[in-house]
Amino acid sequence: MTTADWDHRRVGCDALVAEQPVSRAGGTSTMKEIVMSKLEFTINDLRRILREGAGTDEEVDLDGDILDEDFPALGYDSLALLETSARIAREYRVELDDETVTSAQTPRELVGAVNAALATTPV
Amino acid sequence: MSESIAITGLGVAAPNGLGKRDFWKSTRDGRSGLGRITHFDAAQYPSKLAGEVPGFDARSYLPGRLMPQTDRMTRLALVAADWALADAGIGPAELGEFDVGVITASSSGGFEFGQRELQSLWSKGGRYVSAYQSFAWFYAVNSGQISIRHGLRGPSGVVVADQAGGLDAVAQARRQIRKGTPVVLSGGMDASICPWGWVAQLASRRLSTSEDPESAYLPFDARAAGHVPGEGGTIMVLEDAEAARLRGATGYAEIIGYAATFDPRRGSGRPPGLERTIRLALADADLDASAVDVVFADAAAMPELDRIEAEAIEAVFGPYGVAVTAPKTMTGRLNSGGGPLDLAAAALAVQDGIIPPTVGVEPIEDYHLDLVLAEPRSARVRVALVLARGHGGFNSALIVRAPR
Repeated sequence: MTTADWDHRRVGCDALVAEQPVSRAGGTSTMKEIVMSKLEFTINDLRRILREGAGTDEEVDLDGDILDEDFPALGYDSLALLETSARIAREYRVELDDETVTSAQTPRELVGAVNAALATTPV
Repeated sequence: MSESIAITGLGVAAPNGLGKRDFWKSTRDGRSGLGRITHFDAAQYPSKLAGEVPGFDARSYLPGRLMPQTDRMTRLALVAADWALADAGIGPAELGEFDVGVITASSSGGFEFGQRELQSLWSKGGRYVSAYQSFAWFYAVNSGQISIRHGLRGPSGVVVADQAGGLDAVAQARRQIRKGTPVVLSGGMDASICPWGWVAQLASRRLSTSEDPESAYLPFDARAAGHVPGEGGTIMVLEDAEAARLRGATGYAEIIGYAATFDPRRGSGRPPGLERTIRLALADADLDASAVDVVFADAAAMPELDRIEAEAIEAVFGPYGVAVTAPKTMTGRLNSGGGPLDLAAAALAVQDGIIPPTVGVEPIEDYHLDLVLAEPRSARVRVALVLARGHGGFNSALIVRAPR
């Protein structure tokens, strides 16, 4: 079982449990927040959010090997990346500053930046 | 360079037909596109009828990348621009990128898109507002998106003057062509049949509250009590007529005259501006009134505005002195798209020798109008005058002539 599979099973836990407040050092969080905060952000998550937020160019195979493609070659401009980062930020409850996002040239760099932010975001 | 500008391509989206062919067939046949609103639940609103463009599936025409960033009006404008370019038989690839401009009109911007994002802002917060809200609801977005899609970097802009704006945009395109830009995409496209757009239009107090599509919009009729709004319009390719001829394109018609005025303040005692607008446009075209074969009326369907228009037409052309028609009785008033759609109908009337009818209307006899009613009229149409008025006092008139 891969890490991604395991994480998806964890996210799929009972919604009632997920919304229960949990006291932790530094404040109260819900179970869902804790689980979400530990979720690894993957290239498939990025693919889904790009599709939802910015759409897909017909000539581009987003499901192909895109990790090291430049965003402009995939049809995404800086505004598309801003919209994408806003969606990542609210879904994963992570702070992403605009510069971090727009300086990412490729999906690999953006995925890395999101995971770095996830690792340092306090829960 | 010649003095006239040729209309060489038409892209039409109208409530009674998507695409030039369907629109013109319906319009000649007197088939209306007015009906109960389907875009949203209008049961609680005083006006419940509109002209909605039928069968428009934007995804089948436009790249997926454009869907999250476009309002319906922009999707219609982009597709109409594609059609206009294809109809004119020119691709941007054949022209330098600075040789083609884009000048459209807009009345409200992308209201459906804007409403959705503002609702997100109120209910969920700023983080939930689309980054594309930065431009998707702006007046200039249709010009911008057409320009980006085809790489057109000639003189571009947007004109805002309510229903008169569509003709004003075409006139601005004409100026740019005369200054040396070979081709300009122009016209107007509006689509704000959504709750926010509807409330904004209701505020004009000019909307019909009738629930019968056949008698809701009756300009020049004793029953006139406001109009039915519609969505859609026309994007057209305009070129220097001589340059078009040199590349073998005859075009539908040539734009030979234009004028715009603004009404005086209410109670000033000065006359409304429409008659002067017509006379100025005739002077610009260097034509006598007798040369005009048909007038496409603004047709406000507000009793006072109808009277002003009928008096202006009678003053210039004499009683029953010219054929008058209002095919917008079949589409509703399209705001910035209205003038360009009438211009498309005028160009097609010139081409086919047919004046499309005004439907449902029994004109007030005192208006002395030769209104083309019920049936299309076969006629030699060499010169057509298109009138458009915008809320707040805008008057515009544009004259087209058969290609030489």
